[in-house]
Amino acid sequence: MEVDKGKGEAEETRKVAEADRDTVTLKSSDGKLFEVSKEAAARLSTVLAGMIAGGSIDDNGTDLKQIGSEALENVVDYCNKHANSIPSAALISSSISFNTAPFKEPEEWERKFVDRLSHDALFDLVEAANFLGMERLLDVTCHKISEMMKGKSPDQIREVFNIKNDYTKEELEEIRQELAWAFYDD
Amino acid sequence: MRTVLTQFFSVHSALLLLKTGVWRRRQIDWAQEVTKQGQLNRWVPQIKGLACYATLFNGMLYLVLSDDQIAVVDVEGKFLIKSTEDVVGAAVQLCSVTSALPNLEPPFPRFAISVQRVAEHEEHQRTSPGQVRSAPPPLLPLCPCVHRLTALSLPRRSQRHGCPQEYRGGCWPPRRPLVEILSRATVKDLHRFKCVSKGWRGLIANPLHGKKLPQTLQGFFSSYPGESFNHDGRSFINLFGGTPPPFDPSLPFLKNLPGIRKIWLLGSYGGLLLFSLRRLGYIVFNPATEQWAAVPSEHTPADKDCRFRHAFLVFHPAVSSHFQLVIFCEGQRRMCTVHSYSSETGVWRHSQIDWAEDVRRLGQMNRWVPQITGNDSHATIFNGMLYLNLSDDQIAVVDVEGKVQRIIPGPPSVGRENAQHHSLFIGQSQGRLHYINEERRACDIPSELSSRVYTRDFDDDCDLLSVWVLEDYDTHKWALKHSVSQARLFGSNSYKTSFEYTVAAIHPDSPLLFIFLSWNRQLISYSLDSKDVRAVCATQGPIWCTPYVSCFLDFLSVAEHEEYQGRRRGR
Repeated sequence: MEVDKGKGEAEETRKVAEADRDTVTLKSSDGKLFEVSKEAAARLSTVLAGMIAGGSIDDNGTDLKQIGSEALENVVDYCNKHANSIPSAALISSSISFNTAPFKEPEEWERKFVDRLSHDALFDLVEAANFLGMERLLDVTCHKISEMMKGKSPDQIREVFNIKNDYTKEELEEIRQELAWAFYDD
Repeated sequence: MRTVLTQFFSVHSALLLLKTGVWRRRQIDWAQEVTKQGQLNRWVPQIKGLACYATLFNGMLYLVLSDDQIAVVDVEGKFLIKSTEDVVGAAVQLCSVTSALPNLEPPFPRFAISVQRVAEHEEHQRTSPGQVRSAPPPLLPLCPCVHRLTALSLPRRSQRHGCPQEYRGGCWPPRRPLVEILSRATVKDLHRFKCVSKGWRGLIANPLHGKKLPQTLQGFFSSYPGESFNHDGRSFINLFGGTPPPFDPSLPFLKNLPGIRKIWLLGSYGGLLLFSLRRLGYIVFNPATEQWAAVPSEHTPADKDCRFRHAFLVFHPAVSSHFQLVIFCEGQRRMCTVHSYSSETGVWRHSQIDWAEDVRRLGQMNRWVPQITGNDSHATIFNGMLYLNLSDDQIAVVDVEGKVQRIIPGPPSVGRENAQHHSLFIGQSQGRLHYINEERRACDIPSELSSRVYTRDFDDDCDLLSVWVLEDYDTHKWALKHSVSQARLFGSNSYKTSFEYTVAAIHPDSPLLFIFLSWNRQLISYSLDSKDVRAVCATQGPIWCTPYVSCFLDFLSVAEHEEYQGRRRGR
């Protein structure tokens, strides 16, 4: 009984100590470690917030097997540099209107942040943001990609995303007929 | 839990809620049902708990059982169909086997919750951090489509750099970000992207993403003037022949309205259909979500000498989730009574327009006092205001309260001599107000306009149909966008009066006109860009074509509004 109690206390102290640390360590799929402020992580990522609240953060690096080191570096960069200027994820979700929340245009620094990324890095970052439930980062990266897609032809889109055209010639002709209006110039 | 159920009901089965307002319980004995209707394997299956294993399809719940069979359950928990196939990648053949189930337990709410979670599947994943993607669900939600129910397998997350080609080709971008990305595209871009691949087309056409993705002209409801709408054989002219419309075109829901035999379609506004029940009132109905609301009648004693009514429904979900119903009653003495109803307050307000006074104040008084015409083509809603074409070709801009804000003179004739011209249509396209008029024997066309006038190469080719755009709202400046001769448009030399054809619509996102020809009962389209005339469809009988743009967002009416407010307070 006594022993059990002692153990419980030790556990408690360890937890408190953990809670006192103000960074969390994240580990990418290829084993690299990144530090990010706990406050920023919890504010920007619903997933990390859940993990921190649930105590499933590992001191030696929380494994994020789906995210490569390059993408994780960008995520951490985004969190550490800019956490202060972003409203918390929880705030955003509670203010969602009855139908859809309007998208706030990216700010100047966010624009710069995504503009410097290569296509591949940008796509990886979208996936990472999606995986970590980082709404704002997802918004900003998706916004960037949709800007890249603006006015592009289906052929160009296939090239950018490296998508295989699985239509036959006849099928494509048929769908072009149906969508003729979308190809008219103003 | 109550919220979940009522939300589900208000979208998909409002009648049930209104009629009973109580929970119903039914019991499903899986062993018995599976033996009877499906295939009993080694063990008795159960429904799977994950949201991605259930979906709504044609008003039924499709639940994936633990042995990969699919159970089809109606909203009362009645078991209707059960069919088996290898779920992953297979189209499931539906067969109708009916069987009612008696008694209690497990409680029905369980299904309601799973349905709500499917509908909100993606939102759900956003907001509940604990469960997000810790293990990717093995199945995507079953995709509802009208002809076929398909189950998709989620491609396994592969190591990116190991097989980039296959990875990119098969499943990039991941589904949810792709919807996010596409939700920011323009309507034209979005539909052009349907040509990228079958997967993209399926995703863009999928009603599950209808809330996120911008919608466009889906097609036309056709009806005989004066004919009740809820009779059989109603047809919908679908402009996307390759993908079914996001609702059952016969609108089965309307046939089930209690105690109502006849209803009349008054128009389609922002995805909502407005029906009249004559003296009983109105019904506002969204075919895409099956949400509806009843609006009581607006009649007042002042309506006695009303010659005709013209009804509008103003619904702009980006601005407000409430709709407004505005009815104009044109009276005998140049007075127009305006009844306006807001779904926020649930009450009618009444006001009057004195055309003589307003035209003198804001516009130009010609020989006679103008009135509004009762014709659908002569009125439109633009930026939350009503634009009504008056009988002397001026346009009155009226707010939803019934106050005339402005009177804009209509565009001039194309020919230099002020030839006889009259209006055919007013409408919105690509964010601008368009006005179409017709002009007989246009001659001496000024050179700065002649480049926009398209005729055949005949001398007598001068009966023109002209499309004007309001360039400057403040100075009332109209620009000629395009002008086409009747002969070129209709391919005949004889002049057609405006009774012989109707401009049914202008495409909201493209320079494309839809014109209904009464002499051969055909709907044609004319592109202002390519100048192609195409037959859209031939119909039977004299018809009205009501253009329909789908909307997957919910509106709020008084009842829902109170509940929503209550829910917010409860939080």
